[in-house]
Amino acid sequence: MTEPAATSVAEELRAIVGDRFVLERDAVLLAYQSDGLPGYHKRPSLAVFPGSRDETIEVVRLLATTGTSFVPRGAGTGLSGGALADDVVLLGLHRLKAVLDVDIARMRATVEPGVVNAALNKRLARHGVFYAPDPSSEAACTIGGNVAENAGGPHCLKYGVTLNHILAATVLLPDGEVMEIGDRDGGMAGYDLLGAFIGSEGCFGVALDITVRLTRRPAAVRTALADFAHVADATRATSAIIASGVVPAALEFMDNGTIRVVEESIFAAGYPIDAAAILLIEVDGSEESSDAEMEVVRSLCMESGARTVRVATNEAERMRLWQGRKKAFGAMGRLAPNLVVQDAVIPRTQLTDILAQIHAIGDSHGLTVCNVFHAGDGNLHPNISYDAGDPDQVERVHDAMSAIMQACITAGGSITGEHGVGLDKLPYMTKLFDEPTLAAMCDLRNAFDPDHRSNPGKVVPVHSCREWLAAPAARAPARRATDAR
Amino acid sequence: MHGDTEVAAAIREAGAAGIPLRIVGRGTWLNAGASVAAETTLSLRDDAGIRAYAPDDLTVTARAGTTLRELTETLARRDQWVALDPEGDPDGTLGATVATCSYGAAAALFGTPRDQVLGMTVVLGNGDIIRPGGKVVKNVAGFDLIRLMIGAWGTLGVITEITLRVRSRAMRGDSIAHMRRQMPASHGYREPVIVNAKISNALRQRFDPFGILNPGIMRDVE
Repeated sequence: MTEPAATSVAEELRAIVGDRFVLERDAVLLAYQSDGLPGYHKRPSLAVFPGSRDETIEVVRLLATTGTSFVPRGAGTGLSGGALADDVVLLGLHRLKAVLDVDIARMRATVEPGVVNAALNKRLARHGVFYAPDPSSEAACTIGGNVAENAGGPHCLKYGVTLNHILAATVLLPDGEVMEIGDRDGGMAGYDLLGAFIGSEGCFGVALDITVRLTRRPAAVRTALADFAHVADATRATSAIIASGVVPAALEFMDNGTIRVVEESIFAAGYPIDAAAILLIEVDGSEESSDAEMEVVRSLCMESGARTVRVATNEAERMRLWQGRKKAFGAMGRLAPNLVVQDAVIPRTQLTDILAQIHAIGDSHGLTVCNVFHAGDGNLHPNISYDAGDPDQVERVHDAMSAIMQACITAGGSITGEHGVGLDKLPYMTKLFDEPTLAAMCDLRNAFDPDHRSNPGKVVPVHSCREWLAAPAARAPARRATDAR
Repeated sequence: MHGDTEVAAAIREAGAAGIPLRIVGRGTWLNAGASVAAETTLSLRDDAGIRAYAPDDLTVTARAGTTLRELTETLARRDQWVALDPEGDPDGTLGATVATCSYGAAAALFGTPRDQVLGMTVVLGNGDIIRPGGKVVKNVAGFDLIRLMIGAWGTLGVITEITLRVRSRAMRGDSIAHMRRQMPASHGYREPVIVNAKISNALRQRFDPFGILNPGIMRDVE
């Protein structure tokens, strides 16, 4: 008698999702080696793409039984390296893209995690409602990914981030158990596990469905472009607008470097290329309130030294103004093969000082930093275009980014406003939080995923976890999918 | 109690002796949960006062024992406010409002306390002092211990300090009227019940290992 042939996890996964949806060959896995942030390349052991809720549950239960670690992934547009799988299973959820329910009377919609943000809003448009959070990657990113990262976007200044727009979710825990969290009717009971799950970067399991809050479209929208000869004037205008009590739907800043790149690209939006900075300011509400608020914004900009304030007179002009902003990162692709889009937050009154510091840091590292960011809430996005094939440039970019992060921490800010910690920001976590706070974060994770099998090694440095420090031997390394059962 | 280290010392001592604590602000809470099975009271009422107020950054940091009245009056001098208007006594504390996630009419436009809090200091059941969040209005660094503590009724940690999002009073109501939310009631709080028992009990074991923080207050429904 011979032993029965060992069945690999890959074979069992194929039995669940079909041969086409388990990828193992290097050539095809190449596409999943990085996310929206260049500079990190991690090869998954294999990639699996379940096509339904039931298949997803079966897959995760199989991974649980075999003690296999996995990394959930939506569209892979993340900017923190959070969806990279380092020799573990990559669990792609983009095929789960059904809109399960749209309930206009109760102002909510329930979607599967792979539904694309902009696709949901396209579907909602005819009802006069929308799902508010609008990351710049909205055309590609998924609601599941948005929930994992607690994604933001330009309009979060007025409308709030993902956390403020999710009512409930069905969560598949890493051990395969299915759990309902939150309340579709907006009630609140028990610990806020939904609040904890949102922004957990795939470390607490995966969402099988998500119920989002819908918002009525405002009756009127006004969008203006304010043009400044000095950066300090633009930041002063930002402070003046925030202090005035007007809460713009969006208040976006672009510096000269960004303006030039956009204007030289196919996304040219008619920005003044000689401006030191521009602000893109949107107000919305009723016709009357929008006009009144835009008048306040216009006069505050002019008082702060704006050369001109141009209000879009029709929808086409408005969309064009926005196109330059939303496609700015794409336009930067013209400068160099690689682009690092950074993310940090500072108290809004520190804007002028921090921008000067960022400029100086760029200069001292021989790099050009382009700034395009959500000025209204102090959420910076310093960007550096570079060539990842040049080790010297890579090192300078890394050093400059570290210096920028440190400057933001020193200014009383945070290391990420909307992109998440992922892999990229791990080293800064110990600069921002003390050991007890990091240990408590580990404890929170442990309640959802005691074995750290869901997105292992992300968000909180492993050495900050008490139990992992105390008993490393008790934690045998999670098995790889390629191991035989 | 005054200050984080004193609160931490009291909690460590109670944990070592196995003495359960009833955590209170000014003791004006609604009697919403089951009764707390504790003889000893840990009061935060004297740990009060505004620690930092940055009107131009629209943030304020206050100790848990600060009354909503004091907070409101201080911010009003700069024509600002925080969207916290729970039912009941205006001399109720900020800490209790956040710990119970109590809300009032403002929630329909601005959300509940979970949408207002930017940072916290919390003393955990093992005496650790943690400081999740920060003083900026947008922040996704690390797992969200803040949302976990809001509405946990003190059972996962004692909140000693809170940083809040501040708003201008001058904001025109009609520009946000379309954002009105469906709320289950005009006022309320996060129900102190144990749902999702597996995760909830795991959290309690980790954050209150000696079972001394407001024991008994969370009702079992499962």
